[in-house]
Amino acid sequence: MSYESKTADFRAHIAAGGKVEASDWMPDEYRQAALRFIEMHANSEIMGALPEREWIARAPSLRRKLSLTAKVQDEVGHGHMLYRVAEDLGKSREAMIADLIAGRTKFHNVFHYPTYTWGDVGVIGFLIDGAALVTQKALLESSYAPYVRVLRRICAEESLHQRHGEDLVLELCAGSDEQRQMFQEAVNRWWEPVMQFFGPPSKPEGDVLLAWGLKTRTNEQLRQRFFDTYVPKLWDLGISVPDPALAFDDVAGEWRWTQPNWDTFWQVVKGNGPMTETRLAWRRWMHEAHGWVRETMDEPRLAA
Amino acid sequence: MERWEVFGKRTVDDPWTSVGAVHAPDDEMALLLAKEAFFRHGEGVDFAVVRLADMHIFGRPDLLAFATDKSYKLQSGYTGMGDKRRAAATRAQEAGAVVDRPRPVDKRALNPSHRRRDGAAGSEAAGSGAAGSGAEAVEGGGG
Repeated sequence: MSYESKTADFRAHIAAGGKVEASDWMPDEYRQAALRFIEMHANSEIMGALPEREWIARAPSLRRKLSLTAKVQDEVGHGHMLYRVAEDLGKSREAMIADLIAGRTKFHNVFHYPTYTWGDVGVIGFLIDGAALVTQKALLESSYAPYVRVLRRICAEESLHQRHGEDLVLELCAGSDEQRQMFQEAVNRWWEPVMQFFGPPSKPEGDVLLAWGLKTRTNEQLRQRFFDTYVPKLWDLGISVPDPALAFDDVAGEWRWTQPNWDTFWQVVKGNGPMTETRLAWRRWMHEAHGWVRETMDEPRLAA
Repeated sequence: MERWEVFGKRTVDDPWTSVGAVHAPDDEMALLLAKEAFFRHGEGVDFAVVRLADMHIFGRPDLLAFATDKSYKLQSGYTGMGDKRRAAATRAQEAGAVVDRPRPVDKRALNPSHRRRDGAAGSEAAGSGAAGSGAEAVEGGGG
């Protein structure tokens, strides 16, 4: 059977809602797209743990410190589970980690930004985890079965994180004027990056991930779903969103909003964000400092 | 006779899931008995048996229990969210921070006061400043 006809069969399988296993034949384009997407997801879990990690030492109570530590541990775990899924597609974990810390591969835009106050931790735990949960839940419909299996577990843990984030936000919003202001200012700082997180409104016909069923929802569908859930919650807390156009349009049945600056978004994800170099430098240092652990784990194999 | 643990897959995409166990003298017999005991009603697309003696069992429940309070790792560690939401909304009202912008009808809200009272079309109709803004506390809290 020719490559073309195998690809046509594969396409029909996907179109009929079929799933793909690591050991199945797949077109090179599918393999590449799946690898790149899952690798970036893994990178983002690893790098996404860092902004919150910065707040473990500064958490306002022992309980918050413990919960934040447990959450950071979960996120790093997600990263490694996802690297395991990605490596079956043909790139070693070592190569993926080397590319990440050398700045050759991408991670999500929101993890390139600094955190200034405990309010930022609230935004990350409530809104960014919320945004991630919206996108990851939609990915449970993905055509790549090993990814879906690992996402089931990740989504369960992310919903706990999101709950923890909301709890933290409610505490701030029920608190003093200073605490409320601290959270409001954090929302103001993060709103544009959160809008950018979902990506530009994509044209379904030009999106390779949609074409292969790796994703089943457009960026805009996901962003609208995020608005549905989170904007009313913020407004109920008396927290405004720094987009004067943001409102639900009853006639259109969707939210109106203002496009962020997409040039900034591309600059940031290409590695020119305000904290990109600092966080990568930290990650590089940790990787080198803990090299002995990897060597120790490898020794039985080397001795054999 | 040895005990064999039986694992099934409901669909090809599912992971192996334990469905029960059988006693059998060898793997061939274990597969046959497992098929008759667990897979006669379309329960799945494949199954496997593993000799219990081949399973490495941890066997230390004491080491899985939390030595200290670790409820922050559980959903149940974050209870009373509805009360916390209402308290924060009341606090927002006290702080004079009311955001009144057009929003979708909350279909899931069971309490009618959680829904937009202006029906649907017009977004400015409610006037009171609390259109659909949730908890009674918001509406009652203004003074």
